[in-house]
Amino acid sequence: MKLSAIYKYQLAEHRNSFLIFYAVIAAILAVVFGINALTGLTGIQYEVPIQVSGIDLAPAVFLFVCGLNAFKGNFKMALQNGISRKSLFINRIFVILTLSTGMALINQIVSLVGKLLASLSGTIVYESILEELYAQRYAGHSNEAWMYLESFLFYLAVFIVCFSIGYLITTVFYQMNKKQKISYIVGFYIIVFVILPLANTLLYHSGIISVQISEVLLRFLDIIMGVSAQNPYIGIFSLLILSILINGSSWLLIRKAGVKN
Amino acid sequence: MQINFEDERPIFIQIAEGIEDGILTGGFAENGQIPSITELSVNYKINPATALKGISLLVDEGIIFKKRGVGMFVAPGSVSKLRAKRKRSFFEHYIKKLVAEAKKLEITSEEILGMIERGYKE
Amino acid sequence: MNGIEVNNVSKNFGDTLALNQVSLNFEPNKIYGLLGRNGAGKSTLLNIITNRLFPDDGTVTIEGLIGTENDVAQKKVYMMSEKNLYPKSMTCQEVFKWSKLFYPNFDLEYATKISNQFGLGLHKKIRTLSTGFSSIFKIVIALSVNTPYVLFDEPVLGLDANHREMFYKMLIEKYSDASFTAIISTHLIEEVATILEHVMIIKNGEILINDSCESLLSSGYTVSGTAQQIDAFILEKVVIATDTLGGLKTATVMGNIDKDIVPLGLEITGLDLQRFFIKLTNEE
Repeated sequence: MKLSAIYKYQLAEHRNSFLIFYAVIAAILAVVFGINALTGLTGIQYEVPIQVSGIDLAPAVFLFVCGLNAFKGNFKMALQNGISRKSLFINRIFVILTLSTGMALINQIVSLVGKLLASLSGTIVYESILEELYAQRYAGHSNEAWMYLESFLFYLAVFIVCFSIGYLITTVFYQMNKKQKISYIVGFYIIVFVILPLANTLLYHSGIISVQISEVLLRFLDIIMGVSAQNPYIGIFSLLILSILINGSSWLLIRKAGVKN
Repeated sequence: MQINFEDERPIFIQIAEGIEDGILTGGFAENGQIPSITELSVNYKINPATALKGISLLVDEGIIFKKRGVGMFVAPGSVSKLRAKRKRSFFEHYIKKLVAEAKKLEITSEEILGMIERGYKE
Repeated sequence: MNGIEVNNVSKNFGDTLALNQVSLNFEPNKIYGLLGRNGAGKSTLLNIITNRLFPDDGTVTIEGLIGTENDVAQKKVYMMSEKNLYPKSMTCQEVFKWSKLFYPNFDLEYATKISNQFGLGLHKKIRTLSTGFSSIFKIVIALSVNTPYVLFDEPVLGLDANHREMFYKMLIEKYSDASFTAIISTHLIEEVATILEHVMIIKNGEILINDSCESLLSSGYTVSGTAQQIDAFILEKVVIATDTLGGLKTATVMGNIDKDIVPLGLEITGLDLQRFFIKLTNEE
């Protein structure tokens, strides 16, 4: 299959930041394990093991930021080169899948290397978010093949959702003028950090609701992510549904977008 | 050859007349090649269709002939043909204007004749 | 059906009617002039043809294919826009390389050649280009892209006289080599008049004139002489503009002229297009 120019273009846009990102990840791992190796030589003993976690979610943040920067420039380039919004969007989805698949695979390698180095050092515990969420399921199985498969699928779904959220935000913003953008951001913060806590306090303490709103949200997350059930497939499924909803919304916005004067 | 866009005559006529002038003055010799449509249009910044239209006038009159894939050439006998044609329009084009200008300046026909003779001598 | 067809296209921006029921046909292998003052609707029309904006009403077809959201149709068209749509952090060279991917007939060698002629630095970033060189950069792509339809929106913006001349000559050369349809949108009519085959004049979103350049030029004439003579001559004629300088007067008259009835002393010259255009497109 011949890859379309707009696919190549959109993918190439991420190349530099992709390389920088993994250079940074490699540097962090090198520093952590390097210091550990050095201190190991000096014979200093740690009371508590050093915990390395969260590196597996760094690509999610990275992809979210990529998503935030993935619309405007590409849209203009597409229009300049006779590419329809439809082709732009379809190839964007392919790019999201490509990037997410690639980074989910690299995640497995990073995790493999991390665990290997951790076991060599003996003083470092290397743990992924997946293992923390589904601790019971993976206890004692952290190096088995099926776990790596589940881990791959899980991160793939997380990465797709993160990129898609960033992309949706930037397509929403493209349609807005400055005033609308500001009121949108301010409105978001007011709802999340003022109205929700306020409502929570008022309603909960006056006894109108018996459970806190945050509690409800957490339980909801627990259920859709399959945490209580200790089933990551529930989580993967929910994330995929979510990404379909998000990208569907993005498409509705892109479909009618025009060049700005 | 000059193209004057202010001129009331259409550009393609001016192109044709410019080439005719070239042939009459010997700039383009009989059997010699004349500039291509592209050269003409680029040089005078005109639409190639306009240049083609001008050249076609000359082709129709048998002044210019085309050799496929080679170019366009001045037909043999064009000079005398053009002279005859220009002579026919000489009165319209030049004498009328001359007389109009002379009347403006109140120059008599005798004076004009004198000037013409002087012109030939110089 | 060949060519680009614009059928009853209307477009509103808020309360402003940018295009009102515009119908036009651009035939293959002709050079068109789309003339109008700033804000007349030229760019809006071109943006709709190239699927950058959606029409509120009406359709555009390109060689019989619907132009809206149609990659196959849009591959036949390239538009050099007044506004730069290329990433500002890219170099000219990089943009050329991508253009080749988007338009396989893009001629990289030719692009390099004419860039050098213009003095455009290929390793310069788009962001660093002056207005003139930004236009030149876009002109280079438009002349190298080899699509059957090339749209130029205000191509000579910021270009000096020398570069303008170069552009017009290159355009004619390219057009003679391999015909394509060129649509040149501009408000500088005098400069392009000789290049154009067909002229469309747009005002307030409506097409006022849609005619061949030749018949437009022969649709009127300029006559000058003494004020007395001119006043007598232009009686009962359609006069679109007059200029008086002392006892002398110049009038732009519409219609054909019968040379035999021109009184002695009056000078007839061709239609002054710029004056005609200004008169036609003036707000009144």
